[in-house]
Amino acid sequence: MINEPYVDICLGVLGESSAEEILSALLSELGFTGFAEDETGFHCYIPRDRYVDSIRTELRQLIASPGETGATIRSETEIAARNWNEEWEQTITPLQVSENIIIAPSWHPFDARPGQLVVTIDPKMSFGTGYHESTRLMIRLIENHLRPAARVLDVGTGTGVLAIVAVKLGASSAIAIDIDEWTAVNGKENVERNALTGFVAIRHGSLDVVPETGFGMVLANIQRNVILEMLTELLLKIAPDGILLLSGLMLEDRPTIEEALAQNGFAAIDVIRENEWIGIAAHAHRVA
Amino acid sequence: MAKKITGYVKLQIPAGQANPAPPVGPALGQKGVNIMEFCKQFNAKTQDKMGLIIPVIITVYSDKSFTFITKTPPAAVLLVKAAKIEKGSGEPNRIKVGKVTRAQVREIAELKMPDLNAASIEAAMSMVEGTAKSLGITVEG
Repeated sequence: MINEPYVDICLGVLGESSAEEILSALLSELGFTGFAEDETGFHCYIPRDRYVDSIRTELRQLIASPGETGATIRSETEIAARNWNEEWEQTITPLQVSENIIIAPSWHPFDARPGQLVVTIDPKMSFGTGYHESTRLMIRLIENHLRPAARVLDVGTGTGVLAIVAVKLGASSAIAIDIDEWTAVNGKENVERNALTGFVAIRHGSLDVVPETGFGMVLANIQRNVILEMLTELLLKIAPDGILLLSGLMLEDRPTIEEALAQNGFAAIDVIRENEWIGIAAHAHRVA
Repeated sequence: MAKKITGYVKLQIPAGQANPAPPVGPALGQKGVNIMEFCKQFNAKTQDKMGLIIPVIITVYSDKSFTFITKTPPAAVLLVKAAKIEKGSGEPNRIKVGKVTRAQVREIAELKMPDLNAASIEAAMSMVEGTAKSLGITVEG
């Protein structure tokens, strides 16, 4: 869960820097999820719900033992859940992500010229603002490959931006899913902001919350390993003449993805690039 | 003209699994960096090391942009994984909680060479053995 309370245990470490490596190795095995080093000490983070008495005791035993870390607990602070990306989000302005599409936050209205399409997105710590190459690549692929009235499935939707763009470009409807509840809530807010309730359905969960099949277009802007893990299941969702759009991929991921597509009877028909990122459109091999 | 650096952030987070929760959120959020963009890039670049903690140093510039470098996983993390133990021992000289072979030590030393100030693989192995001792892991063979 990205939006739950955490505990920050700040340790003073007297030993060499290797002591911090030892602590992170041992504490990550106890369920600590990350570490930060600054002038106040070595900070160890764990979700509050996981910081139970047994973990607390093990941490204290580890610190108290005569090992070589020389660590002491300086402070223990609970960190409430909040939108950590708020400061950056307040700086975003309307962004032209393709020839005719602009993504704008609701607090920064944009006067569109005829032919331009404005998508309103307030991100709230979700991915999909148009500021990243992978989102822009997907939007360009949707523009190039969407067939009128297609039904769309967007996996890992984040802000919901891709599903919203697809429907605004002519898809009949979209189902958009995300495994993070906080993000799914944000996606629903953005669907409402774009007056697409009833056309874009945001669901919280993985592919198991989508019993529907036969989508004309399936979108996944995630990352290589996650895409590879779910590829077979993802392809089962596509209509025989449908198209798969993938993003969140780096240049070096291309051979692996294309091989996996081929093993499943699919082939890339369009690969586009921006900086070190690529987007791939693929469809099933067709027998002549 | 080079961009002005406003700060550095040093984190250790799981490869391929960065998200805006602490420590990433508080550390980068207060500097006005786009956390989601960092997570996307970090995860794409580290997904081959899933399951390991990766040290990362993020440089933040005055325009809120950032660059980052990742280091090899800490030797301690690699040793704990190699020894297949739940956790290390807080009392290394008294309780031996795991074992690794000398071949595993060499493998870890070879992986760590880019980040170690070691003149030879033998010197790097000696450093890794020192870390193993601190963890209560016995080196065999």
